[in-house]
Amino acid sequence: MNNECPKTHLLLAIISTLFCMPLGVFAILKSSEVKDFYLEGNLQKSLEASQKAKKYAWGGIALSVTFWLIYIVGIVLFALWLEKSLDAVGNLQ
Amino acid sequence: MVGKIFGCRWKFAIALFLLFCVLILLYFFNPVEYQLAPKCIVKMTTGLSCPGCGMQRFLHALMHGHIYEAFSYNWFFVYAIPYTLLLVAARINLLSRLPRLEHALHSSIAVYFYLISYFIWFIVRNIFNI
Repeated sequence: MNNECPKTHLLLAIISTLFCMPLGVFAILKSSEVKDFYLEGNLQKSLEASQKAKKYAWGGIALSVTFWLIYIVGIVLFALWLEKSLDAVGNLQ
Repeated sequence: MVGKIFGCRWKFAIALFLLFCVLILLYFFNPVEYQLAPKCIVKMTTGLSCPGCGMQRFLHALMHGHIYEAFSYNWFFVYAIPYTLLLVAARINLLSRLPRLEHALHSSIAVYFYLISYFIWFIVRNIFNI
């Protein structure tokens, strides 16, 4: 069995917090748990914390990017709708 | 040697490429003037500035040499950016000759200091509208 300390994913978690996501904070907390559990000798929990840290950090970044994409699509649709409405008003006059 | 430094090269190459694209876009487009610039989910939903808000304005100003203006958008970056860069250096094994620094960067004191200062900055910037 591999007894090395699991990856803490600290860098990913820090980047996730800078991406403006509260999920990054959870990622940092989980990431700090990795070493604590490892030093306690609880390798199973340490591995779980490592996986969760990775999941939260990527989740934060992905959510941020998804939010931006939805925002862009929203703006484009709104602009198209506005153009159409203005055309309709122009035709009425 | 290069392969040894960049343990997982393709991931590093993708990250570097994305960073390069973002920096080029931010150099030529001022995020304040463009509606399509990425918006912060916390700011859009709650109206509060999160501790990372101001990143794009910061990079834009920094790349044009306005250092004071850059940091005035987010004073937290004075600490957060060097810390992140040091973590990146540790990640690509540039700090293998400085094991004590590498250990200190990953210590729980450093992590909790980052976390606490993150929340203090969140409160302070929203009280004083920084």
